[in-house]
Amino acid sequence: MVFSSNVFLILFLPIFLICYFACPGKWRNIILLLFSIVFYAYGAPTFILLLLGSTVINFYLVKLLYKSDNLIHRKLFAGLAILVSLGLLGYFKYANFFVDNLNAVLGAFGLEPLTFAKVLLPIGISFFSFQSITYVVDTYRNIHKPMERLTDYMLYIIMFPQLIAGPIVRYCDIADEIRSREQNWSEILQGFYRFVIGLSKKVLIADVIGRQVDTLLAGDLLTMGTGTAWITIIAYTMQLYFDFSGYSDMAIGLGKIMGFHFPENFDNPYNSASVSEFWRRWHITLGTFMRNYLYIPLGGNRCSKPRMYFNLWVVFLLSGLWHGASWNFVIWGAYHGFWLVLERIGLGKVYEKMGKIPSVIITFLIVTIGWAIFRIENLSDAFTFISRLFAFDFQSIAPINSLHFYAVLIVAMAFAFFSLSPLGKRGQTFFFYTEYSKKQHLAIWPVSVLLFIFCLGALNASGFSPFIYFRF
Amino acid sequence: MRKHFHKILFFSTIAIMVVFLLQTVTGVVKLEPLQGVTIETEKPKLTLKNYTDGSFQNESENYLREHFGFREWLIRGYNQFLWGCFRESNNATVVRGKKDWLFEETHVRDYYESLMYNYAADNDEMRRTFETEVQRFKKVQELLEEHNIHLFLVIAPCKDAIYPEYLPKNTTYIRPDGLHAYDYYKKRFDETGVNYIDFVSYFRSIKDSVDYPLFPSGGTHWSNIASVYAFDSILRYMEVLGNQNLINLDIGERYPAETRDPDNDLEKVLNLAFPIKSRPNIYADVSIKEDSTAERPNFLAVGDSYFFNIAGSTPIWEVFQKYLYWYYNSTIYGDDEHTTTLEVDIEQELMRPDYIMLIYNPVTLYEFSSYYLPRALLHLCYDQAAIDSAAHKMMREIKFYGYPEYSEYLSIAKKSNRSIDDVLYDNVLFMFRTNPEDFFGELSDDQLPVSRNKNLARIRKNAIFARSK
Repeated sequence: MVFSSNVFLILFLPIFLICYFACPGKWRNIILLLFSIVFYAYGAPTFILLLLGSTVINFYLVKLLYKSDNLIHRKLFAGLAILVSLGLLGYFKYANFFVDNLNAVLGAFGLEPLTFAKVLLPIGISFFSFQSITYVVDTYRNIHKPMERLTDYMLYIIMFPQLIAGPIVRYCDIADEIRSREQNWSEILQGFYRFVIGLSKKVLIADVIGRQVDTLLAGDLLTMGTGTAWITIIAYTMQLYFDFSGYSDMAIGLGKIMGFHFPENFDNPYNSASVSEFWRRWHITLGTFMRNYLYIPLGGNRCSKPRMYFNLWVVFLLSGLWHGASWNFVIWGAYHGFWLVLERIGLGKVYEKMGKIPSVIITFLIVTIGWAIFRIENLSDAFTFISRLFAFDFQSIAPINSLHFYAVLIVAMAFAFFSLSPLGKRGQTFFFYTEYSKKQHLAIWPVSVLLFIFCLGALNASGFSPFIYFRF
Repeated sequence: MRKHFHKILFFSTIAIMVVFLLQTVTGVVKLEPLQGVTIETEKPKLTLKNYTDGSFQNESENYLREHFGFREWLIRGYNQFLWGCFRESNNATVVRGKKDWLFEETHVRDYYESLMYNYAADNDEMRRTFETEVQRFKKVQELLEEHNIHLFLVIAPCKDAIYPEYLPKNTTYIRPDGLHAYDYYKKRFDETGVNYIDFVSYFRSIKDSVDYPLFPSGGTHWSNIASVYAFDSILRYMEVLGNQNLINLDIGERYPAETRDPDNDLEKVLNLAFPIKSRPNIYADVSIKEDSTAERPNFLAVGDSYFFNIAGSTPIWEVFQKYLYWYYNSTIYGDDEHTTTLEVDIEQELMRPDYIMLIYNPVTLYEFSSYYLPRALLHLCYDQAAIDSAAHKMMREIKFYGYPEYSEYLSIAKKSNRSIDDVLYDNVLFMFRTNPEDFFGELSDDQLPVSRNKNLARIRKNAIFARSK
């Protein structure tokens, strides 16, 4: 189940909110857990037992880890718990990829390929696996005590707002709120506004742009004009941002409604003046996870420069692979790693001399070209597409006759670069980080409700193309 | 009240969601339904299998998409937003042209690209197909004439051919060199003597001189008033064809009035909240001129939706003793007993009308034969016993020579709990009725076939007798 679906918006959400707020505080975690199980079981019925089973195993392994004073035992339990999480992730997400590549190698040597039934990917596994790792590591590092109750731990892992698309919430950031949280009605309302902002980003911007991007990329890439190619990739750049950040906004908003404060996942990433900065603003929770649980354990910055560059590459290769089991994601990760290393070597200083705006433009172009590798799974097609970006062939026209598309694309770009200006910064701070007065609530609430209803219309109107007359 | 300000707002939010939920479940508020034809999703039934394979979830989402509360308002509201802000149609089948003229997407495509290219690999293949259709029409026309039944084709005009100046600018389609059905058929019909009326040429010739719209800006078919005049011309053509005096239409003074159905059929399926703008159209009241000497024959129309305008704008039931409309040779209008052409006794239906009119516009012309003519040709030449005998021979061949389709038929028989012979028979009959020339050698010759269905003369005699009573 996704948030931008009728089943969620019309059935699940109102029923959940009624049940959640009708219950006394002490029952709310149970209600949230039950609805989260229903949420996951609805979308991935065959994997719910796997998810719950792995959660139970991890909970008890971490309990043993916490109780043990013996360092070797602690390491053993931590290692086992991480192995369970990474093992599941590795098997379900990467087994097909591994076998396909192994078979390609075997085929190259004239050997028989391995026969292997394709493994289905449980939704959200990339997110809940990482969350369970933060639970193990934070307990191991004594950053926070583990949960006392299994249901509380299950809730941390399976809580529906952030279960399938993040943000990746570190255990230490949310543990206390799972145990007890305050109910601030103004903040609950702001959670609803944030949810509606996310829904609008997804339905009114990302989906509108995405439909055209799909059409454009389904055409012949070899003959695509340079203008069309740039429109396509810039549109995809916006689609991806508004889709993903919209989903994060919905998750953060839903969290707020229940009294949780999930970390921000995006901070105007396209306003970044370097790729390093981009990664501090894009999918922040993944970047934080990678830094705290991979880059620093590898040695981070506190090592020789060649080793640091190597660490950076490894982190970005794995980040790429985390996004999907395919070579294009690996190369996309390596592409970003390459720019990061280059910035450490000296490009960063060039940016500083150039000033903010030119650096933002260059970084945007680097990131945008990277999205071509990310979006087009077939590498040969991806490089063909990138070559069309620089073919300077302006003969063919963009076959998009939709003013709506262009208007939404312009609005998307305006929002994406909004906070480069002081006015934009103030607006963003007001919308996202200020507690509203009653007057402000009175102005924003009806707009949010109308926007919510409008999104419902857009969500359902987009596929509604009735015929004039019935034939046969 | 002030103390609970935030609570009130939040619970109002939940209340609004609940209103949608309740309307979804109960549908208690009756709303004007959305216009247009869609294939509705059946309410999914939960089973372990469809739940675990995810199909229940997909179907539920689709079902809810079609049944959620206040859907009609929300979709109209969003469509109005798109139209009002961007002048864009949210319905993929409707395209906005210049000055807000609306066109069917297939018509725009046909004008700029030609739809024919969907159906044939190259010009030679297309030419062969077209020629088969011409020959088939000519044979059926002559075979029916033997029973004093007059077959003719009406090529209705299409909006893109008459008003191309209102089409949207083409940035998408590329017209390949080749044939268009309209050009090919028109030339060959003239050469072979096929009975037809070409309203495309006629409408083009009068377009600038008439003081009424030949097509409404918000509709896809000829306007109601244009269809009235067209029908009058069709009746005069039939008089010449059958050498009969038929009823004349009495077309009153033309007057402007608010657009009526189906002159706004395209605008309706845009499903906007408000009409695009008031676009008065020209109408006339139509009755018949009393004439005791006039004949009232039986009439069958087979074809596309252009006939709806004629049936809706004229007192057609007074012109003919009985008229039937076989929409795309599939759904039957005007018959109380049958709803689809598969149910009818084709021999009876071939001999009942005195005039058979096929009506197609250039966009649908490639399919004008539409199973009617091949089926007619088969039954005009062979009685059911001869067809059954050929069918059983064919069934034996399929069984014993291991035709590749045989395993598929076996699987269908098993799934539908029918005998293999039943399934085979139905399929062989379907093949005969769609391409009889492939199975009955003489039908593919250039000459008129020699074989005749002997039953038809008696059936025709009975039909004429029944009508005279």
